Amino acid sequence: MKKYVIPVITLLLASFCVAVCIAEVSFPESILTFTDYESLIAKFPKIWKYNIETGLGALVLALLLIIPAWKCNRDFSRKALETLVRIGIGGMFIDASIFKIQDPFQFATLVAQYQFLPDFANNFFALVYPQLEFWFGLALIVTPFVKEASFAIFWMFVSFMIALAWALVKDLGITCGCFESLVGAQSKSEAWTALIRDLVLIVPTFLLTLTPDRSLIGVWRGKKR
Amino acid sequence: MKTKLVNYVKSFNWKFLIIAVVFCAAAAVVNNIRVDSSKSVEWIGTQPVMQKPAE
Repeated sequence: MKKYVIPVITLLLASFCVAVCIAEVSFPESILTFTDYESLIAKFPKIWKYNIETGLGALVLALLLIIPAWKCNRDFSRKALETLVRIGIGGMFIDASIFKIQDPFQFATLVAQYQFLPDFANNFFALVYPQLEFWFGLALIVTPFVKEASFAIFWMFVSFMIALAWALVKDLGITCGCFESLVGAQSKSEAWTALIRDLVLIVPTFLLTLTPDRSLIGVWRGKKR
Repeated sequence: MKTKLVNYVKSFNWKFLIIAVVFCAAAAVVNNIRVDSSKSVEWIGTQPVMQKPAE
């Protein structure tokens, strides 16, 4: 029993910490919204500026929490981590694609702000890319093709990072626009935070490309597809 | 090293990847027809670049 209780608790806490990391890096002040926001801002007026530090701190804590789980029950931890990463990253991609699929015009406008692709390709890219995000995100969770789906997602992360780096180098002053609709060009600090988030998420995605193809049920049964 | 890389590339189910990409392109076409005309875009082309706000 003890063999499972410690890994379950520590891995759940680690998942929470990773969620905090992603939320805090993507949307500054996420943590503050769960706290006494007014009094915290009154005492520390610049506390919202430390979202990257808070997010990376949560990530380090998550990594530290994985160690006891791994030592206690390696096989269970490996299965649980694969499940959590597949659901987490797949779910994130599905979530990120929804508004882009619902409003191709807004996303096409966002893509155009990057001034990266040739003009004739912007609209078609803006139409196809959210579909890739949605279907590969879904495939990561519900199909056995984990290797292929994570490979596609890995290259999508690479493309996001290239685009964000381009926006920073060219000083385009635009936001990532990964999760929210375009409200026009925004502060470039958000491009930095999105770049950090992608760097954090590309590591587990790459590790998934090295795992054998099998469904989530297959992971727990320990069988190949 | 080279053999490992070749084996790694060979281990992918390329048929699945190609079918998925073609399916996504078809879904994109259907979606652009499905959405409201105010939200759809021309297949080929771009959108105007907005002015950078003064920070």
